Amino acid sequence: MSNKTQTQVIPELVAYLDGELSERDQSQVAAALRGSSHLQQETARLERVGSLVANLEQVAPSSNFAATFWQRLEHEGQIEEESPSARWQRKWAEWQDWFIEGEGWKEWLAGGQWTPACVPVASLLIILGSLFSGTLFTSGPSVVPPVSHQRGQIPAQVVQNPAFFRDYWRTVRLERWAHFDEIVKMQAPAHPNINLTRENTPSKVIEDPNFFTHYQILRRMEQFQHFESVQDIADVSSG
Amino acid sequence: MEQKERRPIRDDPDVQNMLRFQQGDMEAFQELFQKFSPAVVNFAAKFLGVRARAEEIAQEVFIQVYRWQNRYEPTAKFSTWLFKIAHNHCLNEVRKGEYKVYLEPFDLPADKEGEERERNLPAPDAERGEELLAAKEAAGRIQEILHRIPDNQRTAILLSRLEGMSYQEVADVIGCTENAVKSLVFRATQNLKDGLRDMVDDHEQ
Repeated sequence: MSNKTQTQVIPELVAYLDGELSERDQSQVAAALRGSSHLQQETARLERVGSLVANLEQVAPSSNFAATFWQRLEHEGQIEEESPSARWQRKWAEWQDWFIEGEGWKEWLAGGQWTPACVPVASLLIILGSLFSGTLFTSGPSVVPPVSHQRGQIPAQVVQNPAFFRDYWRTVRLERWAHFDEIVKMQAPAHPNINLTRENTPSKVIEDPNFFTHYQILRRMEQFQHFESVQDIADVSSG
Repeated sequence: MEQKERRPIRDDPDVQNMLRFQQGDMEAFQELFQKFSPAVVNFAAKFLGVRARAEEIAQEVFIQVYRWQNRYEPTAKFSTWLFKIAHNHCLNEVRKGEYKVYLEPFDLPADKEGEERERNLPAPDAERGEELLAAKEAAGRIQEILHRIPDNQRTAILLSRLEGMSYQEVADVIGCTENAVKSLVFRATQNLKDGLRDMVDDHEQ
């Protein structure tokens, strides 16, 4: 059995502490440790780091986490039962989300993975999507004036909390779909743990499967008191 | 040989729950959610450094489990499959680039009940107070370092230390070899050690 040098042993120390080495390697590292105080110190440091990470405080879910999950899941079930045309509309909306948020297609273009053959395919998809969503030949509510998203127009709370950016874009788009007023008129819940039922959900939201996800987000934003800020944005963008 | 390996996995209660769920048993899914959702929230929170989004990610992970129930095959532990989904969701989230600057301290619970619990705790004595402060500082610095190291190193160290996964299980989650995990965990620990040098050395003296 050949002995390992210190340089060979150091990268094995963490696996040694974790008991993840083969029996042979385990005994070679143990032998090296017995003969070197430097290795023993290094092992103690690595062990200490491991225990600091293992003892990090657990981030527990908030009190309404489970309730929100089951509501989301219930809505998922309803989306699964949607009609084929509604499914196409939802897919189209998701594609618009992806396009508006921008990161995916920018990376894709930058990566140079596209070929000229994609152009006719993309055109066909756009035409099909537009046909199914009814936006190609109509001037319906989804055809709206462009909204300017200057940093100064975005509410401070939204800027400060990065988790909210996605919701914010969705909300701005919602406003274009003219459901915004209806949701604003809804009575704000007295308690943050809202129990969403079919009865206290606006009919338009129930009828439009595209809306379920957005609606949940809006309700949550309302709880977080971002709602008024977002309304201000609606005023800026429409003005 | 293959059957010998599969038998113990099928006997695993989580795998049995998943198989029951595949047969339409929603109670089995509820059990899995109750058992694993706190761990997924914790993993996502530590991975992203943002609690609010971590909860959403955890919900999306379980929605994916619900949708993909029929894709699960009892060839690996349920937790491995679950954390593979969680890892992918977290990677997608990080690639959006919103988490490079913002880090939340996790020392305070987000909910009102948590605040109440904290108020009701007995007043700490000076020594305990110092310990708490040191732990808080260490937690903040660990979170900061975790955020700087490569994604796979972060996943490897979190899963092995927080979830107690073996290197093979971590390899299954990340989609690499066991040897690669050995190297990832080592490099992550080294990076943490370098960043926490004063604390680690203090402890030695």
